[in-house]
Amino acid sequence: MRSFITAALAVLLVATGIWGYMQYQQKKALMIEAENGYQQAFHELVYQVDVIHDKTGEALAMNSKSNLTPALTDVWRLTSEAHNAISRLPLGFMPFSKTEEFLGASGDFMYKTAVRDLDSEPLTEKEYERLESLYKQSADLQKELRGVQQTVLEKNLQWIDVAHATANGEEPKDNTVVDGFNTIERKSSEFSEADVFNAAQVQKSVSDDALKRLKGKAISKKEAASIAKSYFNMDAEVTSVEQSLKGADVPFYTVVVDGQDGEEGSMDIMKKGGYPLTFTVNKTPGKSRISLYEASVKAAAFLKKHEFENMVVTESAQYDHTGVFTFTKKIGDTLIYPESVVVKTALDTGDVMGLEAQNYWKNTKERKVKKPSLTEEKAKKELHPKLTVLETHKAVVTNEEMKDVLCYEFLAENGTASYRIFINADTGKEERIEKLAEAEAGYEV
Amino acid sequence: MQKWKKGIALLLTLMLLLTAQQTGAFSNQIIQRGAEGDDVIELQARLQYTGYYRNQIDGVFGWSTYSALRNFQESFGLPVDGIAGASTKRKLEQASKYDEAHVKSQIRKGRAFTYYGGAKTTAKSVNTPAGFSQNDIQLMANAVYGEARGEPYQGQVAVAAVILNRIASESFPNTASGVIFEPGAFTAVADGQIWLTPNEKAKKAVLDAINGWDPTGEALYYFNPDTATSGWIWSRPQIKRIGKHIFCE
Repeated sequence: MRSFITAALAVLLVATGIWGYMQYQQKKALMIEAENGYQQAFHELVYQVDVIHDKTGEALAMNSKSNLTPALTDVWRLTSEAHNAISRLPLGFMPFSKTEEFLGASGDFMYKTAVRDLDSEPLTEKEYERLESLYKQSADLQKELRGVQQTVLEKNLQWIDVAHATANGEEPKDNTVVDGFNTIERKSSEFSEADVFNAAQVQKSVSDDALKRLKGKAISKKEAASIAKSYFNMDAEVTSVEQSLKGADVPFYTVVVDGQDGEEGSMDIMKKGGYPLTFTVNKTPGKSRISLYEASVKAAAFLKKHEFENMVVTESAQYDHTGVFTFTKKIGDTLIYPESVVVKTALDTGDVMGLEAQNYWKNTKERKVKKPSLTEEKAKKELHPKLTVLETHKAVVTNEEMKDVLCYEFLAENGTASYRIFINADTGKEERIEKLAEAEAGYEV
Repeated sequence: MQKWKKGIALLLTLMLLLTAQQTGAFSNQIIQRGAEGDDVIELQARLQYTGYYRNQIDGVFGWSTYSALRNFQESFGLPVDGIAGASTKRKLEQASKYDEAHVKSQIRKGRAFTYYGGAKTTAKSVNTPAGFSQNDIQLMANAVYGEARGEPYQGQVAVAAVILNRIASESFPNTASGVIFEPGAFTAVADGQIWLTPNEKAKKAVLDAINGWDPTGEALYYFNPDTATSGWIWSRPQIKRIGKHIFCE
């Protein structure tokens, strides 16, 4: 009898243990889910404030009403999304009403201005000033939020801990988040009388289908391997050549190589015609020995050697000891932006470590650049009067309707920011406005 | 023999030091947009001294430095190209003073300059590709590391490229955080592995992908055929295999 009770109790104990463990597992899964929800809301909030800032900046440089209305509507939509993201954060323990008020009032201003017929009733000087102050305030908000974001990422802060503390009515342990939000709140309350935009981060123009029209003979695996070797600037050994799987729009080979110093390299080459699509080498360059300028000259020579003709540098940036350059085709005095490639160079040896040419191959074709019907002076008149033009080019860009159009490209500034503006060389339409980003400051944590 | 070598080395260093002092602190490099480092700090400080540059001295040759330099070149009768070559640097050295130790100590403290007309400095700035902040890159590196830390470099660039392709696609959220935290989208998010600290390799892979590299042929999905539990994923058209992952449309 005794032994029966012991056995029964033991079974019961094990069962409770298993039950408890399952409960624990379930709770953990739910906590992770809740945490992910909070994280999403928070990072979205930061991103939306970023875009609000950029779009207000772009609106400041716009002169055409047909662009201004959608830009303002965009800001209006984003303020409401940012508002929504705040509401999903567990911020119950602190007042956050001023920031929300700021977002709300800004949204109202944007909405009222956007729905008005700006042709008959353009922005008044006062409204313009308000837009300007909104731009500045969103910069403050952005800076504080990015600071908090950096802390959250660096210290792996869990929003769920903040939520628990709130529920128990205590002050959360790590106060950086709380402090950050308190600063934001204080700043927002300083904004007098509410003075506050969709952007996908990436632009990919054309689909892979466009590669089908490229002509050439099919190449073999062996030929692919030897083409790849000519691109890798090192003593590389080909470890594998594999064909793409059935679902690829155009069949291509992937050639994998190993360098002697342990570099991993890989390159995609189209089966038809052997066109080089993309390659990278994973190598960490040593300390820089050559300048970005010298590296760009070497990159240009590399392109020339591989038969990319008439390419000029249109963008360059240094990341630690790596230089990244965008090269664009130039026909006569006109830049053809759709036909651009990106080249990566090590700044210690100057060796090319990567080429991305898929967009180039999708867009390249015989082009005849015709004479524009507007003169440069005429096109300049379409710009916002507060802008000073630094540089002018003729350029072909892909517009929103996915058509290639001839434009005048103006590089201009208005004292606070620089812009790149494309004015259609035939119709005078503002095809595209970009606010050019400055380097991002490091935040003190 | 050893002594002789040492002597030469010493002589060379001395010569280098001397020439460096003679020509000011600028090194011989031609400085262009996008560059970072000491030469850029000097360039910004000198442009500020002459009144052409009003922004923060942060050591990154951005757009505001570019327009300041062009304006300087225009008023000093130099060819206007926005690149600081030998003649531009010489003109700058004649027209301005540069106290390297002072400028750098101010930068370290993140203080405003009084010497150069009150402009602010920041401790450090970094280049980031247009449209992405350092934090976006960090978050993506977290996702790539959590999802593909055992994969070859190409495989990590590919995972980052899939995140970017999703951002560009209309069927997915249009922010990095939106795509990454979409419920059920990534296993590393669901099991918390996203919060492991990513290594440099993952960060480099993300940077490559953002700069335009896409080794996947525009894939929107990928899966590990050995562990995939959903039958649906097998019905997607498959583009390419990298390491353990198959990438599909």
